Formats: sequence, structure tokens, C-alpha cells
Amino acid sequence: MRAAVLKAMVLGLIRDPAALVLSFVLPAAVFAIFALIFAGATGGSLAIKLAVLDEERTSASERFLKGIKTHPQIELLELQDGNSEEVVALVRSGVADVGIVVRGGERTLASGSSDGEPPIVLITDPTREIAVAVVEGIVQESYFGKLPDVVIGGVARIVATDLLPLDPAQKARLDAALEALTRDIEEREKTETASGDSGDDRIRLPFDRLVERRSGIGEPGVSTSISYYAGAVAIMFLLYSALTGGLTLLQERESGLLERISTGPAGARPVVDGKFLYLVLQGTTQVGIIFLVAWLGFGLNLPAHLSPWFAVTLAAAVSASGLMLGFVALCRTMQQANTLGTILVLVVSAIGGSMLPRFLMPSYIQALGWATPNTWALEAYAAIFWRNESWSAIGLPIAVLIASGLAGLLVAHLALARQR
Amino acid sequence: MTGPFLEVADASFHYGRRHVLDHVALSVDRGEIYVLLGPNGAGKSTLVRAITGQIHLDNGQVLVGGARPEVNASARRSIGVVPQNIALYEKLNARENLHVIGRLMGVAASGMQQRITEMLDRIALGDRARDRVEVLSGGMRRRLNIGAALMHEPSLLILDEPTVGVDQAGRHAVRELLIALRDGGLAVLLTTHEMDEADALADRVGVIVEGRLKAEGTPGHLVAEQFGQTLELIVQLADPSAPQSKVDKVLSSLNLGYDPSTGQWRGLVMESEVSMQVAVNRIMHAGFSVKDIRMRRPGLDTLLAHLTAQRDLQ
Repeated sequence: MRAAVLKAMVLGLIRDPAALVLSFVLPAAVFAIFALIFAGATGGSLAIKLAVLDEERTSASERFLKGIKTHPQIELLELQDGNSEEVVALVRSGVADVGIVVRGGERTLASGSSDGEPPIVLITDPTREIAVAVVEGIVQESYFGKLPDVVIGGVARIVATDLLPLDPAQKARLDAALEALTRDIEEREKTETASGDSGDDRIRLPFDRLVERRSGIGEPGVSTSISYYAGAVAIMFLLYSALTGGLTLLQERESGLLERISTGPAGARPVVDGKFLYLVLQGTTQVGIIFLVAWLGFGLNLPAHLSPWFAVTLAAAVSASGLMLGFVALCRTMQQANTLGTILVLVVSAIGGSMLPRFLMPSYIQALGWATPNTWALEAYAAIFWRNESWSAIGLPIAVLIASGLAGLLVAHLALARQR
Repeated sequence: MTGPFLEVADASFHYGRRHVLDHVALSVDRGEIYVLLGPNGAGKSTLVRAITGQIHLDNGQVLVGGARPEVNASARRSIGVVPQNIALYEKLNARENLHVIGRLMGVAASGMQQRITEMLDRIALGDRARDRVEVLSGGMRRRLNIGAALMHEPSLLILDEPTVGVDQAGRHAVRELLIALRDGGLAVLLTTHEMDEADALADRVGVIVEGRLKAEGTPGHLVAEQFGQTLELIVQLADPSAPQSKVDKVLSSLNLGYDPSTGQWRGLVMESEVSMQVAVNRIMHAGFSVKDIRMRRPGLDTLLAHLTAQRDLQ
């Protein structure tokens, strides 16, 4: 009997071109769009538009800005002549993400003094905090890497003043040594600029010699973003498709089909079970197509993780199908189910991480996410594709997803029995 | 088994404080078409739900083939239900629909194809077996709707408005099918608002108003019992803008009341007291122009209107 309903649902889908497109083409297309957008933004080719103005125009400011301008993540908008208001205008209009102004005031970059206004001003847009944080890092990197004489001079002055007081002769020798160091660095900069060589870096304090960058989650970069958004889009469409499929339950109740079948030997149960099987099958296929696009179009290493991926996908499809059938069965009318269901899918997907990566959310929203199938599915996919973890790591998410789906199925049965 | 196939005895049911069924008793024999008439909200659907075992009565009982359908699966299985809407899968063809619904009603897979072929012939859709429901005409859908309910060979067929929205030819085909089913020994319970359908099909009629069975019997007997030698006079004025008070005065004197659903004045008159000529004279004398005037023997529609009006008066 369940097979008969499954067959009817499958034939209904195959013979409805619009439903086919909505079920299988649209999710893959939406994923591809997400992947193209976000893989670029989080996969190593992030380009920050930075407006730069050097009012100080000293050797130190030139060296400092050179370190920033040549950074690979910076797309430079350099103002040769102008004032800080023009930089503010560029940020305000969105032409630049962040602006940097090296002031031409009394306190210069090279002075080492802590009195007066800071020599560097960051012009920021509060809606682009990520870009600001990145630029702050680049500023520090350039300060230490390109102005080591300034850094050493500052430290030496603190030592000479507070820790190991120097007599005038010693101070004079220190100042002379620092000036020689500065001249030496400037000479080297000129040589490097002329030859294009990075030259001798013995006296530099480069950031990359202080910090080693190592990925803690397997293959970093594009692949991780792709797998995240493949999972994120997949679970959202799973829920939406399950809602649409579940609505046929109300359609059949309103048409009298359930009433007709309720006098049969098994009542309406085979209809609910048959729809559940169909939705699981449709959902698994839908997610399969999305990950196929991720593999063939965006290089996700799906073949290496095929078995655990299939297990998580099947569990996610069970969860979405059961939960949505349960929800629909509790509704009284098609319109009510459609309206509330769409809101539910959008809210659950937003909280669960299908629209925005969870790590960008406040902690209480992240905690709330564990009440959604989206979060469990996304964590399971992350364990597979990001962290290369074993089956034991996805055991709990799979169990939770299957349990939630079966609970939803039980609710659907109970709701229909109550309505008889 | 002897006696009626469907027996409803002293059936009562309420939703909250409202009595939807109030001590209803009726029976349907094999080879009989029983038509249940009643206005919307009279309790027809609730009675059908009780017969199909979907609700438990507060009092009384329903027996289908001698067993209680709400607890006995074989009693439920002996019922075929034809809902008012087309309860079929639109994207599936006629044969596929019969297959799916047949399976859900417990028809074994073996022999299913032969059963489907026989059913398609019976409902005269053999040549449209591969056509999807969405391309069938209204009458064909109705016949398929009935055929789907017959797949598991029930002994009692319950139909709710089986010809609603169907053209005259389609209605005729459906009626022919129902008569053939009745003649084949099926017990048929039909709810309808179509009085000509009830007149054409009913072996017996039951009129249910506010959960009570107000009248029951053959159509001719019921009408004769209720109306005797009275006739129904129906008048439709040509000029609806005629002075209302004058219209009321003249037509009330003929015992006519206004029916807003048809725009007609209707009433019962004693054949011996008011002839067509008398009625025409009075109306013409008052200066009204008449679009239509008829006098006829009362029918089931008159009976239903009469019983419903009694309820409204109470």
C-alpha cells in the first residue's frame, strides 16, 4: 500500500515539469550562486578596497604604506592629493571598505612619542567590521615589518629611560646607532624597489616570522566554504520541499481522498507513510544533485567521503520529511500550512545556519540552532568535509536527525487519527 | 444475511452543545437507492462519518452488514465512499488511479489488472484508460470517482453530490451507472441537493433537518402524504420594481411567499380553490406584468423547502 502511494507521488512529480524544476534544478542553481559568491569571499581571494592618504609624506610613512599597499588582500584606492574628508567620503559612499590616513601632524610615525594625536587614522564603516579587523591586522604587520627601526627605537628609549638609565654619552651612541639603522633600512628599501628583490631581512621583524599559520580543519579554503554552503542550501531546500510535498496531505484531506481511503483496511496510515518515503527519496536525490554540482563544479572531494555523506544526507532527509509532515498534519487548511510553513522554514534555516555561517552568530543564537535540523546536518557535514572526522563524530547528529524525523512522523499519524 | 444492509438506529451525536444528530433512524437494503436530503448543516455529513466509522456516536448504533463499522474493519471494508470532490490523483491516468486506490483499499496485487480493466469497462472509460485525470471531462471524472470507490467491491456505496458541476450528458451517464449498480444488488446511500436527481434515482428518500429525520418514504408517497391534493403555484413577475406593498398584498392573498434564491413567488394552493385562471386574473387585475406563472404537483424540492421553512418558523 505504501508503495502504491510512493508510486503515485513519484509519477505526479515526474509529470509536472514545474515541480521537477523546483525540486531539483532550483536548489542546485541557488547553491551554485551561493558558492560563487561565498567561496570568493571566504576562500582566500578576499579583496578589501582600501583608500589611502599619506599626509605625513616621510620616509617612514612611505615605508609603512608600502607594506600595506603590496598586501595581497588589498585593492588600493590611493589619494595622491587630498584630505581626510575625501577618504571619509569614499568609505561613506561604499567605494572603499576602509580608509587609512597617515596624519601630517606633530607626532609622526618615526617620532616614537606617545604624546599628541596618533599618527594613523582608520576610517571605518560599522557594517564592514570584518574588513576593519583584517585591515587592523595588516596595519600591525606593516608596522612591525616595514618600520623595525621605529619599533626598536621605541623599545630602546623605554629601556634607556626606565630599565637601564644611560648616561649622555651612551644615549648619544644609541641615537647614532638608531639613525644608522634607519639609513641602512632606507638604503635597502631603495635597492629592493629598484631590483624588485625582497633583499636581506635580517633586521626586519616580519609578522610571518613571528606567527606560523596552520589549518586545524583539514583542507582550508574554497573546499570548506563549498561544503558548508552545499549543506546549508541542501537542508533549507529539504525542509521547503518536504513542506510542499506535505501539503498534498491537506490537499487529499480537502478533496476527500483521505476520507475515502480511511474506510480501507489500514485507514490513512499508508498515505502518510507513503508520502514520508517519497519525501525521503526526493530529499536524498535533491541533496545528491547539490553535492554533485559541488563536486563537479567546485571541486568538493565528495568521492572520498561518499558513505558518511550518504548517511548524513539520508538522516537529514528523514528529519525534514518527518518534521514537515507532522507540522502539516497539525494545520487545518492549506493556506495556514503554506503561510506558517514558509515562515517556519525561513526562521529555522536562519537560526540553523543555512543563511549565514553559525560562527558569525551571537552565542545564544548558536545555542538555539541546536533545536533545528539545519545545525545538526551542517555540523555533521562539517565533521565529514572540514575536519575529516570518523564515523563516531557523526553518530550523534545522525541519531538526532533520524529521531526528530520519526517523531514528526508519529505526530502526523496522531494528528490525522485525532481529526477522524 | 437478511434484512437491511445498513441500519442506523437512534443515532445521536453532538459537537459541543450542538446536537448534530438527534435520534436518527434509517435503513438501506441491498438493491436500493436511498437519497438523503437536507439543507447545509442538517447533519448529513456527520451521519455519513458515523456510517463509515470515523466518529463514535453518543447514543444509538450503526450496523453495516450486521457489524459496527467504528470497531469492525470488515464492516468498513464493505463500504465504498465517493466524496463530493474529485478524490483522485490529477497527474495519474485512469488506470493508475484505480490501481493506487485499489491497493489502498486492500485489493490484492494479483488480479489487479483484470479488475481494473473490468472496472474501466463498467464505468465506460475503457478507451480513456491511459488519459490523465486532468484531461478528462467532468462527467468522466465523476464516473472514475465512483469507479475508484468500487474497486474493492463494496456492498454499500455512499455518494456525496455525485453529479455536482457536471453537464446534462454527464449527469445522465452517472445516473445510468448508479441505477445499474443498484440493479446489481448494491445498497446505495446518496446525499444530494439536486432534486431532479433525487426524483430520478431514489427508491426511498429521507429528509434530515437540524439532525432529525423529518420524513422518510418513497418520493411519491412522501409528497402525497405531505401535500395531498394541493398544487404548487409559482409566479415570476416581469417587473421587479413593482410597489412592494402592493405585490405583497396581492400575492399573499394567493398564499404565495417570496423565494429570494430563485426570485420567484411560491406557495401551495388547494386545487379546488384556486385555478390557474383565478391566479392570473388577480395578478393581472392588480396591474402586474408576469414573466412566468406555473402550477404543478409538488415535488421533493417543495417538500424540502416546506420542512426547512417549518424549522425556520420554529
